[in-house]
Amino acid sequence: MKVKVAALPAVWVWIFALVPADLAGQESSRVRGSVREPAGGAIGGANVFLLETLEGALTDSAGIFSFESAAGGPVTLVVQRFGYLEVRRTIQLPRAAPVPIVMELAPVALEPIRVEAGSYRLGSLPDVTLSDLDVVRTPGAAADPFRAIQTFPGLQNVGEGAGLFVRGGDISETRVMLDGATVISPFRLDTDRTVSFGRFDPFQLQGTHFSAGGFGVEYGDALSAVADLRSVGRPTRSELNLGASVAGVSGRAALDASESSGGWVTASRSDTDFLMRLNGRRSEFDQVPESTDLSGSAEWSYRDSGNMKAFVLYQTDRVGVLIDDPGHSGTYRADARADLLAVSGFDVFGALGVAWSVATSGSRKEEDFGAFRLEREDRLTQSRAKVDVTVGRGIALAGGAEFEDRSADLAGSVPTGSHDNAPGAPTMVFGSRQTGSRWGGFGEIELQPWDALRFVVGARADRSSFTDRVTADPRVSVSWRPAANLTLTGAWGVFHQVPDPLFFEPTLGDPNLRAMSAHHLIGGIAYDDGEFLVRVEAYRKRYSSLASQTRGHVARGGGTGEAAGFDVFLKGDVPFLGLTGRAAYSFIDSERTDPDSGELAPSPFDATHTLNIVLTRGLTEWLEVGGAWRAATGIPFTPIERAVFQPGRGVWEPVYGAPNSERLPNYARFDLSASFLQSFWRDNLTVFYVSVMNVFDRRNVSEYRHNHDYTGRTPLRSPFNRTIYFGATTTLPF
Amino acid sequence: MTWRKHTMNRPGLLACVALALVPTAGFAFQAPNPGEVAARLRTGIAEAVIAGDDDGLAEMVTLARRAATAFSENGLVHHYLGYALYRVATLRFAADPDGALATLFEAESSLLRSIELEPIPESHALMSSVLGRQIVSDETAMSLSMRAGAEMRRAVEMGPRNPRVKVLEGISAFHTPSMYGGGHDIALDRFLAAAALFEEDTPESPLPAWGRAEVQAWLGQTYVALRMPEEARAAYERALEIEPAYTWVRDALLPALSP
Repeated sequence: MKVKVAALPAVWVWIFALVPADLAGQESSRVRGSVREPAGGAIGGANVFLLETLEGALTDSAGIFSFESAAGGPVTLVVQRFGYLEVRRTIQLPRAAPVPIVMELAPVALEPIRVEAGSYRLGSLPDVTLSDLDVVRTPGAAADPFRAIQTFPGLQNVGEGAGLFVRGGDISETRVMLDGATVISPFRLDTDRTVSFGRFDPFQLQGTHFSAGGFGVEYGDALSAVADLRSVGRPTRSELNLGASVAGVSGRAALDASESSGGWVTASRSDTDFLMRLNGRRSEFDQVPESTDLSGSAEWSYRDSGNMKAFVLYQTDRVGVLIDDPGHSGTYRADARADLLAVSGFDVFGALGVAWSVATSGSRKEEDFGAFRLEREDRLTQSRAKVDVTVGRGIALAGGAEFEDRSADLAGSVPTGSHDNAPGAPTMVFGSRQTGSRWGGFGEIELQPWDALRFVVGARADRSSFTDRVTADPRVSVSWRPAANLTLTGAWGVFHQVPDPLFFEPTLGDPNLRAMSAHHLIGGIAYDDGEFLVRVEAYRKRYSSLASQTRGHVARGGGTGEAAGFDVFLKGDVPFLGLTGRAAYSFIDSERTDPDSGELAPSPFDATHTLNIVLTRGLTEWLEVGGAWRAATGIPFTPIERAVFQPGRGVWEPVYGAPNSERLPNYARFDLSASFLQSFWRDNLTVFYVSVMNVFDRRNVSEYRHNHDYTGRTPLRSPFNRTIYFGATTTLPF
Repeated sequence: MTWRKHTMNRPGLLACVALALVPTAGFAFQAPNPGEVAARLRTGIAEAVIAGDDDGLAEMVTLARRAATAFSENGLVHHYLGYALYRVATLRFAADPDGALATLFEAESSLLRSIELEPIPESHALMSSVLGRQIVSDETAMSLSMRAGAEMRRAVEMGPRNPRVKVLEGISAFHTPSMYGGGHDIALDRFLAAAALFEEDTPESPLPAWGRAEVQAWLGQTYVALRMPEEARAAYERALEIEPAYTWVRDALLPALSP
C-alpha cells in the first residue's frame, strides 16, 4: 500500500483530498433528510451540502436529499435555495437519523432606495426616468433637454421658451449646473421679446438630475429647483457626425484616443431664414434668429478610480424682431454671446470619494429697442469640492465647500416710463459694475439602516458679499419603501438665493437687499414596477425676502409669497396600439408680492393646471412616431384699465388694474414627430427626422397688444404657429 | 515503471504522512482547498460545454455555488460561478428569456465579486458579455453598453494577448450590427487573432483555459455569415480535431453546412 502511494503521488494526493476518510480507515456515511417550508410544503431544488467537503445533493420534488460523505465528526450542513434564507446546521457524522430542515422565505431583495422627493433623472445613466433617446424623441421639444424637462410634473407652462418655471418659482430660481459648475446663462435668446432655447443638446449630455424641490444641501443659491447636468466625456468610438436641417448645419468629431482618454468637438451654424420662409414667418423678423456654436470636451482616466474632464462652449446669437407697441413700433435687436469652461474630476481613495470642479462662465448681451438700450456682461468664476465617505453599512457622510466670484456690468438707457419706448423718450442713463463673491459649505449624513429606509439630514451655510450676511439652510429628506415597488418620500428644508447682482445697483436697485428665502415641504408616493411608474407629490412652499423688478426695471425687495399644489406623473406602456408614453399633471395655487403695487397677488407663473402627454410608437425597428399634447391654464397678467394722455410727449400712459387679476386664454398645443434610422454602409447610422409643432395651428395667446390710447387690445399670437422642421444626421467612422 | 522514477516529492510525502496520522474519530477528512475546487470547475465546465451536457453544466453551477459559499474570499471560485452561470444563461435564452436574465444577474454579481477579490482579464471580458446580454430595451441599452464597453476595455488592457478576451470580443462584434461598431468583418479579425493567440496560450491550472476549440466554431459561423463555406468547414473540422466530442460543432454547425 505504501509503495503504491509513493509510486503514484499525484493520484493519491487527489484521492486523499476527495475521499480522505477511506484512506484513514473511516467508513463513508450517508447524510439524508428533508427540506420544507414552515407550513410543511416541500422545497425542491435546494442545494444541500457540507461546507467542509462540498459534498452534497439537490433536493427532489418531495424535498428529500441524500448523499454520501467521507467526513466524520462535526460538520456544517448548508442549505440554499433562491428566495429562501440560507440555513446552516452543525451535525455529527456518521449520523443515522435524517436531518429535517425548515427554510424561511427571504424578504424580497430590493435595490437600495433611489427615489427622492421631487427628483427625476434623465440621460444615459442608470435608473433614469427619461433616457437621452426619450429626450430627442419628445415631440415638440426640438431635442432640447430643458424642453423635455418641461414635460415633467411640477413645471408650469409659462410662454413657449425653454425656461424652467418650477412650482410657482421664477425662471431664475432654477439653478442649472454642468459638471458641478453653475451655468450663468443656461438659455439662449432669453430676453423678454424672444423665445428662449437651452444651450445644450442631448448628445453633449451624459445625464441630468432634475429636482423640483427639497434637494440636498450640496446645492446652494437656488430657491426652487436644480438641473444638474453631466457632460459626455470620452466617446466609445471614433467617428464623424454630420447633420443638416432646415435651420442649419452641424458637425461633430469624436476621438477614442486610447483606453484612458478621448474627446470630441462640435461646430454648428444655425440660420433660420429658410425655416421662417417655409413656415410663413419671415415677415416677423428684420434679422431672423441665427447662431454659431463651438463646443468640445476631453476626458482622461488617469487611473481606474480617477478621472478628469474638461468641457468648453462658445456660442453667439443674433435676432431682430419687428415689434408694434403702443409707445413705439420698430425692431427689437438682441446680440448675445456666452462661454463656459468647466474642468472637473473625481477620484476614489478606499471608502473616500472626492469630486471637484473649477469653472468660469460668462455671457454678454446687447438689446436695443427704440429708447431702450442695454448692454449687460456677466461672469461667474467658481470652484467646488465635495467629499463622500462611507463609514459603515448604511451610513455615509458627505461634505464640501464652494466659492464663487461674480461680476456684472450694466450700461445703457432705460425709458423712465415703460410705456414710452420711442427714440427721444426720457430715459435714465446709467453704467454700473457690481462685483462680489459667495462662500458656501455643507455637510450631510445619509442613514440607510436597511434597504427600505433612507434618511438624509444636512445643513449648509453661505455668505455673500452682496448681502453681507450668513444664511443657514437645514434640510431633511426621508424615503421609505413599505412594500415592493412602493415608496413614500418626504422632504423639508430651507433654501436661500442671492438676488441678481444688478439688483444691488444703487440707481435701479437696493444695496440693502437680503438673500431670498423659501421653505419647502414635500410629501409623495411612488409606485414603480420597472414597467409602469406612478408618482404623486404634494408640496407647500413659503417665500420671504423676494426681490424682483418692476416694469420700469427697478429692483424691489422684501416680497413674500406662497405656493401649494400637487403633481402626478405616469410612465409606461399604454395597453393598446403598442404605445409607450408618459403623462404629467400639475396643479398649483400660488401668490407672491407684485413689485409694482407691493400687493400680494397671484404669481405671474401660476398656470393652475398643466398637463403634458407624450406618446410614442415604434412602427418598425427603425421607424418611430410620436405625439405630444400640452395644455395649461392661461397665466395671470395685470390688465390695463385706462390711459392718461401726456401732452408733452404725445403718448398715452397706461393705468394698470389689480395686479395679475386676469389670465391669458388657456394654452394647448399638439406636436408630432417621426424619426427613421437607416444604415447605408458599414458603421453608418443615418437618422432622418421630421417634426410638426402645433399641428392644428391653434392660436395660443402670448400677451395682449394695445392700441395707441389703450382703449382696445388684441391678442398677440404665441410664436409657435404650425411649424414644420426636418433634417438628417449621419455618422462616418474614422 | 521504477520506484526511483515515481518517488513522491517531499511535500507530497509529508501530505500523505500527515493524512495517515489524522485521527479517525473526528475530522477524518481533508477539506478541499479553493485551488483544487477551481481546477475541478475549470475541467468540469469545459467538459460540459464541449459535450453539450446541460445537466453537467447545472452540476458545475451547483458545485460553484457551494465553493463560493465555502471560499467566499477566493476570486477564482467566484469567477467560475459567473462563467458557469453565463454558459447556462446563453443556453437558456431562446427557451426562457426571463430565467436567462435572472441567471445573468447572478452571473454579474459573481463576476463583480471576482473582480473585487482577484481581477483577471477573463472576468472583465465575461462581465462585458454578461452586461451585453442583459440589453433588452432602449432604456437600458445605452448605460449597459457603456458599462460593457468599459469592462471590455479593461479586459484588453489587462490581457492584450489573452485569447479568451479576444473570443468574447469577437462574439460581441458578431452579434453587434456594423452601424454600432460590430459586424462580421470585425468579428472575423478578432477570431483569427484569438486563434493565433491560442497557439502560445498555456495558462496554469486553475486559471481559465477554455476557448481553443470554441474559437474555431465561431470562426466557422463567421465564415458562414460571410458566405465562405469552405473556410467554414475547415474551421469546424479544426474544432473537432481539437475536441472530437464537440457536440455543438459535430451535431449542429457542421451538418448545417451540408448542401
